[in-house]
Parts: sequence; structure tokens; C-alpha cells
Amino acid sequence: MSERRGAPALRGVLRLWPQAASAATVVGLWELDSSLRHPTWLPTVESVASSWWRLVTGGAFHVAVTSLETLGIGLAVVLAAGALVAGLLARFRLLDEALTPLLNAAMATPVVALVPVFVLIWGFSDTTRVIAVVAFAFVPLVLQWIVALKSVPEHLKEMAHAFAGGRIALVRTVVLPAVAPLLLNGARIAVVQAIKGVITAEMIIGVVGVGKLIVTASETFDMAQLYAVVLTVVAVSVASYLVLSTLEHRSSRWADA
Amino acid sequence: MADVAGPASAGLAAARPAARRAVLGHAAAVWAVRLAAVVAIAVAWELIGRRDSLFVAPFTTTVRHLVDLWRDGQMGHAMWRSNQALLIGFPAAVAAGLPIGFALGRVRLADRAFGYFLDMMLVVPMIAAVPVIIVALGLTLTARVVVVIVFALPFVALYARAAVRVVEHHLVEMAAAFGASRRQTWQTVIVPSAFAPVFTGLRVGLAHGISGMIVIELTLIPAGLGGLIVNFRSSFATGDLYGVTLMILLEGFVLVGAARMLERWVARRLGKTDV
Repeated sequence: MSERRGAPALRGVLRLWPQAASAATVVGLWELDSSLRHPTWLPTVESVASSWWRLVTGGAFHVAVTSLETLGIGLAVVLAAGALVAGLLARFRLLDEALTPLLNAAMATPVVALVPVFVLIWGFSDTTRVIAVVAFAFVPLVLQWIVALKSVPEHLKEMAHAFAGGRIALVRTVVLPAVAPLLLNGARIAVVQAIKGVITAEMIIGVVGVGKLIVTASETFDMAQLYAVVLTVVAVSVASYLVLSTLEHRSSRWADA
Repeated sequence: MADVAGPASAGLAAARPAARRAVLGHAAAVWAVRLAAVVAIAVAWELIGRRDSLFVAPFTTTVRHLVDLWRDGQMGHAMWRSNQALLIGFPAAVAAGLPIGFALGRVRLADRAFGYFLDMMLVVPMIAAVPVIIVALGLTLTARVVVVIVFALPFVALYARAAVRVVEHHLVEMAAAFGASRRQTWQTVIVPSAFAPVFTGLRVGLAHGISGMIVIELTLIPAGLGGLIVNFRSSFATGDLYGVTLMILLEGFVLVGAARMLERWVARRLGKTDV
């Protein structure tokens, strides 16, 4: 075994060969099928790429700013409200036992059905979309955070008390490191759900943001643009997920340290 | 601050009347709080609706419209139209998702090559794929079935993958040591230990399948329940809109609740036979 410098990084990349091979196969089949049979629903790879480039250079992606704003405000609301509710439920056992089953049951409901009601109440406004984000992300976040907050090991709390630590010191030195990975896991779920909420609301409303791009492209049968927008949404969702996963990983190492 | 849950304390409670009263008192308090929360939501809904009935139908009105929609046949018709997609799509998602999940869980190379596509489907807003499906398949039942499959399958498959992945290796090795064939190993070791998580995957997949069924009707094919919603919204038939929405939420509650009960029942049976 040669232990040259740079070899681990290279090996790390080489280890991804199955993923790379399957991705290449998918793109290859896509290219082959689209250029040989020309199915209506599958534009060629090049046309999607050039359409994407037109969207970028032509400034069409500016509408994404609206989507990101909605996402940001919605996430801020949902994280604050989620922290409050999860904190209450984790602190008071009676509330937890009484209400957590209700939240679990709410997970079974198709939240998307509520979007038309939001549209009726708040019209095609920003509020509608922010509410949709909150509705998509709130319950999963709260359920995850209750688990996180209840997972502080009792013996750690007792030890901190024995060393006469104050409340803030307790939170900083004991609670936070113990629950940080789980809290971030909840935040990751919230972000995934929030992105779904934005795109869903925008597609049902059909006149704003990235959802408008998707709806317009599909109504004008501009397949190349449709694929360009959808694949961008996919890339952004996956990227934000990966960033949060990395953070979670880091924090769990910090917690173990 | 005694822990009142769990079989040990239940036995204790049976032995001592005072302790049993405490347990019953606690259960009553839990139910009181739960009921109070539900009633508070219904009352708040009712009051807001009474003040502003153009945009919010009061709770009682919503229920009345829901009953009326069933009576005049609109709801039954829409429920049948919508649920056709679920009725075909969900079993198809299970039939395809379970083998995929099992294969990815047991064959490492397959998982590394293809597993991440499923992981991505979990993270990505699948609603964005709906227009592509419609262009490919048209405004048909097939398109609606495919959307249900696309929504439900990742959950079914990923839970199945996790279920067969965590099978205790020493059990598999022991089975091999006793000369079990590949098939016997699956029958006696892998399937029993994987049952509960697989079932959870089916339940979560079902919930998402219901979402998929509604999503396509709300965005691009205004048929069935989604069609009713689109009509009622544009004609400002607030009571009817709320009635249909409540019905969809109820369907989710009932179907997924039934799946959860079935899951608990199966888990109990398996728990008994394991010991």
C-alpha cells in the first residue's frame, strides 16, 4: 500500500465510481433516446443546457428571488414558532402526552389540500405563500424538535447541577452539545419541507416565482425550459440538503468530543 | 414524579388502589387537555368564520356543506374519481418499491449506484415533476396513477432498504452456520425482523400517495376532488370549498390511521411469536 500524499482524496473520488457510472448511464440513455426517437416529453441534453443558459443570462431566474424571500420568511416564522411549541411540549409532560399524538395524526393529512383555502383567504399574495411554507414545515419540525429536546441525558443535567452551574451555563455546556445534532436534523427536515411548500404553493397559484416558470413552460410546451427549471430546483434542494447534512455531521462530532 | 407508563407500573397500579387512581387521574388529565385543544381549535374556527364568512366558512357550516355534498352525490363521484388513482397507484408503488428497497438494502453495489436517486426523490419537491409526467402521458388516469407512484414509492423503498439493512449480522451468520439456504435465511431471519419498519414505510408512503393524488388534480388536471376545489374556489362557494378540503384531510386521517392500527396489530402479533 503506497501512502502517497493526495492519495486519500483521490481514492475518495474514485470510490464514487458506482454513482458516477449510473449517473453517466442515465444521461447517456437520455441523450440517446431524445436524439433518436424525439419523444415529446424528453428534450435533448443540449437543448436543456442552452435553455438553462438563456434563463441565467436572460435574467429569468430573477423570479427565484421572490421564491427565496418567501422561503426565508417562512423558515424564520416556522423555526421561531416551532422552537416555542416544541419547547413547551418538551418541558411539560402533560402537554406532550396530550398533544403529540394529535401532531402525529396531522402528519397523515395532505397539507397540499389546504393551499386553495389559503389562496381564498389571502389571495395571490406573499402571505399565502409564507403560510403555505409554515403549513408544510411546522408539524414535522415540532415533532423532531420535541424528540431532540427530550433527549438530554438526565445524568448530564444532574452532574451540571451538582457542579452548581447556572441555567445558562447548563444550556450552553450540557443541553446544546447533546441536542445540537438532533436540532439540526429537525432544521434539515424543515428546510426540505419548506422548499416543497414554496414550489407547491407557487405551482398551484401559477403567477409567481419559480412555480410560474414551471407552469409557463409546461403550458407553452417548452420542454427544454421546463427541464432546465425543474433540474435547477432539484439541484438547489439537494445542495441545501447536503449543506445541512454536513453541518449536522460536524455538530455530532462536536457533541461527541 | 414516578414514571406511570409501562407494564411494570401497570402491574403495580393493579396491586395498589391509590396508585391506580393516580394512573387513571393522569390519563383523564391527558384526555382533558387533548379534548380542550381540539375544542379550542373548533371554537376559534367557528368564531372567525362567523365574523368573516366570505373567506372562512365556520366549522358548523363546513360540516353541513360536507354532508350536503355527500347527499347530492357530488362528493361520492369526486371521491371515486380521485381515489381510482390511489387505488391503482399505491399497490403499484408497493409492488415496485419493496423489491427495489430489499435489493438496495442487501446488495451494496446496487445501493451505491442507484440508492441516491431515491434519496434525492425524498428531498426534491416532486410536484415539479408533475408537468413532465402530464406532457408524457396526457391528461389521463395513467398520469394520475404515475404521480401517486412517484410520490409514494421513495418512502416505501427507502424504509424497506433500511429495514433489511439493519438485520443483525450475527443472526444471518448463525443461519448460515446452521446451513440455512438463502431462501430459508430470508424466511426465518430477514423478513420477521424487517416487518415493522417496512410497514412504517407503507404507512408513510400511503400518506404521500394521498398527497400526490391531490397535487396533480390541483395543479394541472382539475378532476375529482381537486376539480371540485378549483370550481368552488373560482365561484367563491366558500362552504363547499371548506367541505371538500375537510373531506380530503379526513381521508388522510382515516386511511393512515387504519394503516397505523394494522401496523400495531401486526407488531403485537410478531412480538408474541418472537418470544
